[in-house]
Amino acid sequence: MSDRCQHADTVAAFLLSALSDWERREFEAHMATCARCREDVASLRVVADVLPLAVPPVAPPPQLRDRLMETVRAEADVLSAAGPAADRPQPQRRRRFALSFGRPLAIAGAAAALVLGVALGLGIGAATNDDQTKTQTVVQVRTVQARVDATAAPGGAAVIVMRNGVATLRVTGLPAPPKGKVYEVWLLRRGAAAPSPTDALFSVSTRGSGRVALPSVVGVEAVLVTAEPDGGSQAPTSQPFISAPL
Amino acid sequence: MQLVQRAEAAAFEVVYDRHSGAAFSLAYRMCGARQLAEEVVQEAFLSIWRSGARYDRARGSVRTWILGITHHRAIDALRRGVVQDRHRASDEGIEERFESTDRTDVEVARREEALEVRGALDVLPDEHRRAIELAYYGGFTQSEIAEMLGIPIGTVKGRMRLGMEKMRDRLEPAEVLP
Repeated sequence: MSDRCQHADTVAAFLLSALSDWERREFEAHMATCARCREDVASLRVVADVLPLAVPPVAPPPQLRDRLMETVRAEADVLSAAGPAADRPQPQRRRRFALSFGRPLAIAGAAAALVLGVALGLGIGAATNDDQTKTQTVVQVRTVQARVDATAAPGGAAVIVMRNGVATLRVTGLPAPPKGKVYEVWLLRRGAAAPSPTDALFSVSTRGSGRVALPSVVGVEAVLVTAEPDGGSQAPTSQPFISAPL
Repeated sequence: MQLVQRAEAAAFEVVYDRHSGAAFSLAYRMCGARQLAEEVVQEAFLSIWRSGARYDRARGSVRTWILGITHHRAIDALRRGVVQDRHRASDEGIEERFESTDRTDVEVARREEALEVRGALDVLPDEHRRAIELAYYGGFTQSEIAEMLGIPIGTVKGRMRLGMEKMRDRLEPAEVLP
């Protein structure tokens, strides 16, 4: 065929991801100038799109869902606590934060709006596409963003979530405690010279996220976290690397 | 603000529940190892959540979009050399299979669709099917496939193209589910 492009056979390899990085870049550059190849790609894409469906069904383990949603919820809380300022591109620390957690699941299009609507209908009860009205809920939630020492935990973030009077500390991006140690939460009560120990000891998942329920924070000025020997300590043996003024 | 985030986390959970089965099945088929498949699926969904990756309606269904991201993540993992024995991963069947017990209409329709795609692959001449499977599910590049099969790259490309054209002609009347 006279109108057959010399790159025609690369179309299938491109759609099947069988090109090396440089081959793919080269073909993409070619496609920008070749209407014939763009048509071919559009015409054969339907096959690449359905190939995932031909595999034997294997159920994902429930732990995968738990791990993923733990991270997603923690990050949603961290982003909430940061407020609108989290989307601003400065200062430096904020910029990294915004890049990590900014604009979750910004889906466009009617199909996605439908999915979001279903989610809201099931979970919250305000199914609408309007961001202003979908924020209605009956749960009383307050979040406090904690300060995380960037040297001890670069990229770490922590937030205290108080839901209906129950406080939970959620962390993401933390390194695992050193061997033989555990993270311990301390409460600095108003007027007290030293923080009080708590039973709230925790570690983090392989992805650095974790959560721990806190005792009552009534009369508490700040929540602190240190790394302590397994089993916890009665007095801090290291400097707090997370602190959250309440 | 915080409640918007919470609502989006809830929406994300629905998206995960709806599409994680297909994504995990694909990742498992490609990686041949449960642990790595979990990592691939987790990375794929977290990237959707974190980057605010845009769903482009013109490109197909939400499912197609998510499976495309999963496929790319699995290819990345395979090409990083995470899987030691890729021949084995791509050539052997999967020993653990869990049939979903869902019997909804959508589920039934999807199974029929899967059967149809599988059928379109199965009726291809062996050499065409093999080239497509090694590329798409095995994550091999055309050069690697040429080397493995001892044939010129041009032949590999031709087989992939002919195979895809035959599949397209067979599948064309079918409508892809949302």
